[in-house]
Amino acid sequence: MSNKARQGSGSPNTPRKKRALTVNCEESFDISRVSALHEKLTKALNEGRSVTIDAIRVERTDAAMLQMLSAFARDSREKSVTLKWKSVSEEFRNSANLLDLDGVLELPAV
Amino acid sequence: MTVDMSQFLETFYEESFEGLDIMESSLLNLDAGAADEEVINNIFRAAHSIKGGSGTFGLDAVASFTHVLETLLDEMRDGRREVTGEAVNLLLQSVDCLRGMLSALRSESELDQENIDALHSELEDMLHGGAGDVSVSEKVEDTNTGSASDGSGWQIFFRPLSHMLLSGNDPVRMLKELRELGELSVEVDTSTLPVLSELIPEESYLAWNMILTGAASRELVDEVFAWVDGDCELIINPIEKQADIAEAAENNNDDGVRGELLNDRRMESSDRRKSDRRSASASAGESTSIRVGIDKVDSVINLVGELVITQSMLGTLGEDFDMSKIKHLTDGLSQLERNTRELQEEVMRMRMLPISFTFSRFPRMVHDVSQKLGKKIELQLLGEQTELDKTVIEKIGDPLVHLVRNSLDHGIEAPADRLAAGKPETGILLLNAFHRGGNIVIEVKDDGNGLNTKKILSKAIERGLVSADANMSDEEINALIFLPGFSTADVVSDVSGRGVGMDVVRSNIHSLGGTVSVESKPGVGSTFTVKLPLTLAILDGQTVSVGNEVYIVPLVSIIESMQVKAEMLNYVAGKGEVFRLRDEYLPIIRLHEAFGVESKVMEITEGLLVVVETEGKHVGLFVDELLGQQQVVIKSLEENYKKVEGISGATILGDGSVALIMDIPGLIRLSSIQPDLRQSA
Repeated sequence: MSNKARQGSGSPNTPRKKRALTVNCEESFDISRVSALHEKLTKALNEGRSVTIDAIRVERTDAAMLQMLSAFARDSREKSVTLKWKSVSEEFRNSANLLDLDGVLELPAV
Repeated sequence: MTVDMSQFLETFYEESFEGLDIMESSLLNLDAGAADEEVINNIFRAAHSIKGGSGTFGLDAVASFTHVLETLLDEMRDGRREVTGEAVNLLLQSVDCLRGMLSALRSESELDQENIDALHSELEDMLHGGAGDVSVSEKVEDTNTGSASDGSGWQIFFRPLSHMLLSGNDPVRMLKELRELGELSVEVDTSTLPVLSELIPEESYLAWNMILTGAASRELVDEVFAWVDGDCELIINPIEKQADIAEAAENNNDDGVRGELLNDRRMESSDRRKSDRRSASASAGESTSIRVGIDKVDSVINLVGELVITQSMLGTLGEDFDMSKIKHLTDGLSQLERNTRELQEEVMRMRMLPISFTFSRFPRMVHDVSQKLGKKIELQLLGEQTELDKTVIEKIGDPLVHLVRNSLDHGIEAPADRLAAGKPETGILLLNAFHRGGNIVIEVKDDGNGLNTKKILSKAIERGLVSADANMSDEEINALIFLPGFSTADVVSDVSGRGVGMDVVRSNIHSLGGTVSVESKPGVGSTFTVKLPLTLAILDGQTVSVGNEVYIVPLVSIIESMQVKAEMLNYVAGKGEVFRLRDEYLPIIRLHEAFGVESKVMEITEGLLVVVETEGKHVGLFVDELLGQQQVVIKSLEENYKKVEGISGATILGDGSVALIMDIPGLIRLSSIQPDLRQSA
């Protein structure tokens, strides 16, 4: 199947923009949610969808979640998939900082 | 997939309750003014684990409360604070408070905030205004500023094993704790972090090289990792060896410095876990789960293996069976029976726990009550490793508390009274557990004042519980305290303070299929003896027939069975049929009348009397015939039908029919026979 055929009949000359995935983090953003989010992010990465993460509500996070996000951040850079941080709570930033993962995650400056 | 955190939370609660038990028993072992460092360390470790776990699970109230407690304990551990009686009492109250908090959180009920706040501020007051010179928080601040300049500290390499995160331990929390100890610089190693699609999100792939500068002791650093002993690779070395460690950490082999250090650490961890387990096994606590030694599980697996072999052998025999192989078949069936019985015994062993789980609550109780009453009491525990069924262990706690409380309150005299009576100032309360004849016997013995039989008898006569001309032995009179009529406060004050709730104690013990009796000598002391079945799940029974029905009589209650002759029978007005057994008359219960079934045998001389014993009393049960003895699995009648007086449960016999199991004390009540009926012939 050609690219053109795959794009459908709606706009034959411009590729359809893939919808971005937005992740609104819960207050408790930890190992209990990591598996579900891992599935979503892996899918987004494979489909090349950009991802926006809003971590402003996070009151508690842990190494499992930060580790998975770090793998995603690193892989998204390699695959040129956009990862945007909408906003980040202090607790989330501090935890990432503490594990020395803030650099890998490329958290926005305060 | 989402991880069910509740499973970890439940484990946390269980371990925390065990930790609190360890704290409590260790606190009771602390000698004011000359505290043993290892005992304080035990208490500190338990508090630290609770603090760490509660932080992980977001139980902030517990974490914050334990933090103050831990600080206080740390000062005691470092010798900066004296261990005073006042401090021990406050710590004991804090243990109670934490227990209450954890119970409330576990049951999702409300916290007793008033009590928590009050104790919290008492702990703070002691911390800041007490005997200690410098509080830990101040010490850490001093350390932070002082240590950075002198360059001392620790080089730490930490790599969680892949499963560590699933155990509820979180590096974020641990590194936060480390950061509290000094200035922490962290470098993450992400070299083994796989691509996202290959990552198992609950597993750990990262490692950290850290430098902690400050004067934090090795022990404090160790405590941060106390929960992950065996779940991580960990190297902690003084900062002087930094170059060696960094080199070793880069080399991911198990040789060289790192390998040695890891081995040392693992050995330490293993030793510590063993000692923690020993402490935990001696502590108490009701729970919905049970820890079983691996030896017991292995034994069950072996037996199941043998069962499978036997089944396979019988299956092969059945495929090509003829009468010439009958011997093989009977041999196989015998083997199957043996395997099944052994498997049943092993599985029952898995439910067995040492009675120390119940006994361990008493040191605290004796400590508190004796202080409150101004008495000097020494508690002696014997047979703590005697095992019995978990359900029995959990249910016997309250009746034992009642008996012990009574001994403390009313049995053992005040020091002055004891001295006046020529006794040592310190009274002795002995709790003794042992096995006897398929039962467990628990004795609660004190060297106090004993029961006042004269007062008990006069009170019983006054209350119409016995007739004024009753000819009763001291033993029989003492047994009257278990009658419901004695469970009133006014009786207590009259009868040496004994008797409160004894009928409740007796009925609770009866509900466990057990009995309670008392022996007492005025001025010498009393011994309450509780006899319980080892398990509530299986019973050795005698099957008897009454009409077309089959009943089970607990074998443990049976003294003997006999055919009686007409001249042995008698009738006592108002008290029913009795028969003479050697030199005494025993009441007869006609089971067909008690249970309302039609009997084939109406004349006592044509049937059999099964003599049973309960609480030192004997009665004869009139049955048609004895059928045989067998072990029966007890099914609750109450859960499957409803409570029936005189019946403790039901079982399914080999032919599939249901047989009811007799409750001897209940049967006596049902038949309106007074246990004190027995008279000398």
